[in-house]
Amino acid sequence: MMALFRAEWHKITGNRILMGCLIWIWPFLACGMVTLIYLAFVARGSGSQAAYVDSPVRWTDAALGPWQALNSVLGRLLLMGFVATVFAGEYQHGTWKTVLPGNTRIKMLLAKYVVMAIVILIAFAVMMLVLVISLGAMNLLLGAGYPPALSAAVLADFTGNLLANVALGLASFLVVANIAILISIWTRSILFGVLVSTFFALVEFLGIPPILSLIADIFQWDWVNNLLVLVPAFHADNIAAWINTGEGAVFISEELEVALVPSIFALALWLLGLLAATVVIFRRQDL
Amino acid sequence: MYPVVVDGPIIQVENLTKVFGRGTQQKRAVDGINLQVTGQQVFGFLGPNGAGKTTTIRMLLNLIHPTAGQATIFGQDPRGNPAILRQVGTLVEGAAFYPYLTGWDNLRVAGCSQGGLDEERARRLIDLVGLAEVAMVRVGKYSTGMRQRLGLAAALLQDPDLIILDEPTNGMDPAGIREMRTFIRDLAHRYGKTVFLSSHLLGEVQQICDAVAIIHQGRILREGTIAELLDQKPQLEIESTPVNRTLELLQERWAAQQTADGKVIVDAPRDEAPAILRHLIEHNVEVFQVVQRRQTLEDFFFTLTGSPQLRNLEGWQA
Ligand SMILES: Nc1ncnc2c1ncn2[C@@H]1O[C@H](COP(=O)(O)OP(=O)(O)OP(=O)(O)O)[C@@H](O)[C@H]1O
Ligand SMILES: [Mg+2]
Repeated sequence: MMALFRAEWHKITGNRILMGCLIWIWPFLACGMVTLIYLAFVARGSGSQAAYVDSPVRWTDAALGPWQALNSVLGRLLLMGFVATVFAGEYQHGTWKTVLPGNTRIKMLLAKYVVMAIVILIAFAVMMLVLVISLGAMNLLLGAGYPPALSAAVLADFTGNLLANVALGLASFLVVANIAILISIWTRSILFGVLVSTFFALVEFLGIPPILSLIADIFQWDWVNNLLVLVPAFHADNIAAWINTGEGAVFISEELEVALVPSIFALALWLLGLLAATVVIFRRQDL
Repeated sequence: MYPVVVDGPIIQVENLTKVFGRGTQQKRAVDGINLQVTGQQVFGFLGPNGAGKTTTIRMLLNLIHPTAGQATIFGQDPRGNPAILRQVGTLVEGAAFYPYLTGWDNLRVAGCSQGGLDEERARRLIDLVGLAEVAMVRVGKYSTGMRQRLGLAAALLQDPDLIILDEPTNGMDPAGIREMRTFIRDLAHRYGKTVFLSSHLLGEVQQICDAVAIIHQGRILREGTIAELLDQKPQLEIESTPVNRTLELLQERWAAQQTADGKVIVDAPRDEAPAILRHLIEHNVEVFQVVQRRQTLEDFFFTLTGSPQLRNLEGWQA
């Protein structure tokens, strides 16, 4: 199995265009963004600079930023090309026949899945470091502090927070990724994987809530609003709210409040269901 | 690694069948074939385009699910035990690699996918197939023949006991084809490997295979050693003029027929050549040459396909 992971690592990291356009671009963007912000402060002069120095960005927030972005519509979407290429690239290059004989198909998928997740975690970890360091540098240049001051309590608190946000960002990203994987394997096409998962991610955030509330309004069926609990993004946001504010998220109606644990289960169910469907489809395929 | 200890056939195929598609689109690509390949020989799997060679090989390698029947390799069904295929080197229909990786990196990926890479062996193989100089060039820039060579190296990475090659000389130049021929023969006869070689190049197969199976429209037509298949009645080939007269004269005493290129074939052993010559010359036929005819696999194939149910053979490109 280790050898299989290594093979996958070579394949993914050896694809320079893929890595460059879809992975390493993030830390670079983060760096560029911070520079822009800095330049903006400098350009606008001492007034806004003074206001900033009063309440500078906190390094804890800087560190959590990338992981929260992973749980947002846009953050997830931009990674779908990467995910679909990792899985459907074998069809594109006709390479299943080169690498599959001798391995079970489940192991093959598992190797891809694990390495894909690791690569993305590394990229976002690098992005986190870039943000923390460059924002620190900016604060220094602007003459602001970089709160909170380091202490055991702050560190412990931060670590817990970080782990929770990493786990949530990853889980929520993986739901959409699993859709990209399922579709790209099923259709044997990178493009379809990207299109369908993009559509899904947009609709679950932007399309489904208004449609549900519209139906509920028209027919006077209040319960229709509660169907939102079927949508994975609802649970991801709900979990995020519980983690970061200690309260559940409030969506369309006040009554629809779901506790933390059921939401975690719901998200896990989505993840596993999609994976299981992918495995079933892939195992039946003629390659 | 598996110690491969097998009595009996290395590959055994029973009633293997593959039907693609459904309803009116249905296509019986492989239709209940049976095969036995024993060890340490080159076994040729011969058939025209679309005969079902690649489909059969993909079923052997657990890439395609058979509709019916089963195949075992080293006595085990790869569907239950995929790891058995790590003892099999494979090159299926046009070697496929990651175009953005170098030849060397592709070998590394192939090795790791088969359970582990022996770098020293990989280096020797890349040398052996003549790609040492381009090992660090991206495969996207390789020619078809270079990719096939790399495919051969990848197939041999684990020092397999069975090597399955699907049209390995595709896209190779004559020198490459010749090297490949020697190489394949050596694999079986010097190193004791078993080679299962699919091809539609009749001449090539005749030169390097010990035994062959001929597949056509998904069915095995004949199977046996080359010697068995070509064990035919002796014939003489006569070039003379006028051809019609020659034919008439010969048919008085022998079975004779005219070929497409205006020669006459007589069913007669070498000993009768003088009698035939005398007979023709007595009747004022001018004879340019008489040669003993050795049947080739190609002749044999076309004899087979001459039978009524097998007319439709436009697929042949020999
Ligand atoms: N995935 C598929 N779906 C439908 N039909 C297929 C599929 N793969 C192969 N076939 C059909 O099965 C038949 C056998 O194809 P196969 O590729 O096994 O032939 P082959 O003997 O390897 O020919 P060639 O010498 O051209 O490589 C062909 O008629 C082909 O059209
Ligand atoms: Mg073929």
